[in-house]
Amino acid sequence: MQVDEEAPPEMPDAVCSDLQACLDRDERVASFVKCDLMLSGQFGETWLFATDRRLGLYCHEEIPAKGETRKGKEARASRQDVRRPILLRDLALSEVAKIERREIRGGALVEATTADGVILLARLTPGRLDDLAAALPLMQQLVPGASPQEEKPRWRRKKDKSKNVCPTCGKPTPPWSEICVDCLEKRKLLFRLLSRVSKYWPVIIVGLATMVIVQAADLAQPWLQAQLVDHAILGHNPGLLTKIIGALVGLTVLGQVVGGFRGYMMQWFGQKAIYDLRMDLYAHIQRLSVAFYDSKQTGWIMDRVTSDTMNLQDFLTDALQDFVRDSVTLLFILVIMLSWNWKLALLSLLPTPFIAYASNWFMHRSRRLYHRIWRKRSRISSLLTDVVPGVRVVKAFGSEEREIERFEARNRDFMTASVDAQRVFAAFGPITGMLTALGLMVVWGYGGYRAMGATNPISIGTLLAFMGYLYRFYQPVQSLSRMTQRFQMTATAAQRVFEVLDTPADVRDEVDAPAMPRIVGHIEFENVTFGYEPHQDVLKGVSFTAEPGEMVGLVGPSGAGKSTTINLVSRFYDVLDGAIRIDGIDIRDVTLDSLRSQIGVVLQEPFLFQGTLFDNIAYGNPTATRRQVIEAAKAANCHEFIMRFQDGYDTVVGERGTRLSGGERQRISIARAILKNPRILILDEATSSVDTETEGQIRQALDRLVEGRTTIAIAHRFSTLSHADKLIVLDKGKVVEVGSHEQLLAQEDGLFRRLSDQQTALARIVEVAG
Amino acid sequence: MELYDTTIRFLEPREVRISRNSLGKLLLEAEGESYNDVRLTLAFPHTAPDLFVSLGDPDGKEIGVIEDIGLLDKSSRRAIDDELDLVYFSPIIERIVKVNNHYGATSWNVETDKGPQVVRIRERGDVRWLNPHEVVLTDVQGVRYQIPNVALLDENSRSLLEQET
Repeated sequence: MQVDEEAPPEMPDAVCSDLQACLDRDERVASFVKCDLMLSGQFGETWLFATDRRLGLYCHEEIPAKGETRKGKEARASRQDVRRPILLRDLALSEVAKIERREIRGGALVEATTADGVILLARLTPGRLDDLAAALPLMQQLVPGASPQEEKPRWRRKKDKSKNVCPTCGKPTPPWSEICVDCLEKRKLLFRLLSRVSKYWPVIIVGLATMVIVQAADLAQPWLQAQLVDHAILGHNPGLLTKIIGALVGLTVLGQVVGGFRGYMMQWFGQKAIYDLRMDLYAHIQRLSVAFYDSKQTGWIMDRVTSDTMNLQDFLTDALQDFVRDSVTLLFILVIMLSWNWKLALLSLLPTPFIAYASNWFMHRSRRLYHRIWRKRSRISSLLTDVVPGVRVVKAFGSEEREIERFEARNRDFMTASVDAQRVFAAFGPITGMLTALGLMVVWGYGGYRAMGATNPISIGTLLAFMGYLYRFYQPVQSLSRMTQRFQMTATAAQRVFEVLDTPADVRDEVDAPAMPRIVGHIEFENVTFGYEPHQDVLKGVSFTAEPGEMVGLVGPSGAGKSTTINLVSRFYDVLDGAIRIDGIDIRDVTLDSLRSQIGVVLQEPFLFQGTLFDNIAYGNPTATRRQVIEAAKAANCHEFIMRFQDGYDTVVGERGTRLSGGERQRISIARAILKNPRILILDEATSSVDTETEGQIRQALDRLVEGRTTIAIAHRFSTLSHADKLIVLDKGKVVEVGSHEQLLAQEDGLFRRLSDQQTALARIVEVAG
Repeated sequence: MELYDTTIRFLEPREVRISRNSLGKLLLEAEGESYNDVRLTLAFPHTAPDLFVSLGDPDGKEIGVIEDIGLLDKSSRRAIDDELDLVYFSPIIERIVKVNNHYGATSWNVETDKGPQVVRIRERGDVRWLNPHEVVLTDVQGVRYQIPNVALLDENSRSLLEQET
């Protein structure tokens, strides 16, 4: 696989020319790195550089221009004029014996060793570590007498996740994502959401059309009522009365029927649209790499799939349509009222701005309050999800009372927040109620006065119609003034959802990658370097091979990189450097599917899904027949205990199902692997924490499983690895010893011998104690 | 054969001397032995930075623990403080000027003991209340910003903090 490398960064011209002023005429900067801390540890821009003769740390002191307090661009421009270059460190290369980088908590130091001692050259935060990793090896090369290639320069690869900076704006991005939150096109979010539902356009059009019908049927009523009063009742016209009442009944029925139909249709549309989105989201999450799951809590992922999509649904079914409906209604009413009697209209609209303002203010406040309530409530549920599964521990330590107190504190917080919020909510209703009533009083007062007037009187019907319109007017005003907030909430939910959808899987098939042919079983690690976190390599240049059919044991103290090694074989992660080859093929060059389908894994903590034992064993091969499943179970030594269950293979396991012991679960997972019939087998400490008899059964099951397959096994008990063909001893991410069990034991001062002696001693202690 | 160390070796602060060796590296003299290039690790970097300071060799193996560095003699204390200042970059937030919320992610304009900075926080969970007065913010790069005592912040800073957590 070719490695996409980026060109080394360039020094900005301004810095370069300033720095050049500090150097000899014929001196050129050979390597540099921009640092973000001063030597004192204060934030500040500095440049660590090396030339052919010196090592230095450069910064420019910014002397404020005379006017001092001037702000903005003007000041910045003038400041540049008085930039004074300073060399904070200036060391002749000939004096330097060594340049080293030292990891610290929250960054790194660069130190030079000279005859006079160690000199601090630069300080940086983790954001600058990439550039340092690229520049430092070059500097080390310049030191006289440096051994060639002490540390290989590693320009970050394009795919390298350690590139924690947004490509668009340069701001740091979270380690697991390549997207900068700011650069996700905010304004386009809602349009993006809408474009996803555009295929439902006929439904949307029918929805809008029916909405107009419903609104028109409703808005016609006050006008009809005016006619009813003025012409039918006051005009003593019973015929007209019947007609108008008939029309009113007709309109009401029409409005309700069409409205009901419309409500159903829009709900269907909203549910369908969100169903699509939720499916896309879940399918995408399934395809994401393990690294995504490492960095995200289960709750976070669940929230995206459930509550955020629910918010979007609310937008599509309610908020968006409310917005259109309310705007149209307001416009209608305004036009009707103004054209009918503009003076009365203007007067009755008097409280509108106040209502709009109050609603907006209230929505703003209430959102914060709701948010607080929501946070307090989630603190209660997080306590519950924490404590309920741990109830055995709670009881074992007799700390029920303490837990009750802890709950009480959070429960009280929640109550207080809710009560506080209610104060604001309680004030809002009466305020808008009064404002609305005020508007109505004005209409009654002025309208009533004008109705009594001799010249140009307003009819009683008109007055009544105005009241009717006013009632219908204030509701949309309130609803519209809260609309920005609703849109904001939708945008937030949409942002989170699209953020997940836009996260690329970092382990993925190359374009046109071929399928892995049937594996013979030759595995080769060549100089494999890997780390989960940038700059913390867990494996450092690991190389070893496993021949077809061989069993290779990985041993070493915890944290040595054993589990990481087996994670890489299944390509849960991609190596940062070096390569893993199976039968000579780099595993990054074939499809994930074809690779993983030939690798069987038995993990330290076998996971059983909710379902029957049959389903759980058949998970490795869904097309397996009952006969095959039973045979696999027999080979894994679990047939007997399964048959002892009342429900046999139909026994339901999982969260609320039958409880299986650790050894039983282990054997189920072995059966799963046997059924899958993989070419390569990965075993992670399959026999820890079980009794001797169970261990014997598991041992036997495993022996059947490993036959004829290349196996890579981790075991902390070395006795279980005694018949491995080869043991690889890892320590701190490096291979320190390779050989057979006997060979390694023979090395008296070897790590394996030491670990083995410790284990024997420990076993003796346990025996005595037991 | 001693399998594992099962006890912590506490170093009596009054009988410990810490200084710089000729190379400028930390030198520990304790119980008649001296150790060069000693590395410091804090057991409680946020809630008790002065207590339980572990001294180790360059490979990370612990030599011993000083329970309270306040009891060291002045020059040893200074040597430790200087070294801690170097190997723990963890600015203390003195004032929160403004918090911008970008759809869940936040950026905090703060003033720290290391100068003003914009702290970018991935999600709410990265602002942790260790207890009712201490807060630690972990930025997107993993730098820890501390608020050792919320009560010492000004009113505005506190209300911003309360709002965002």
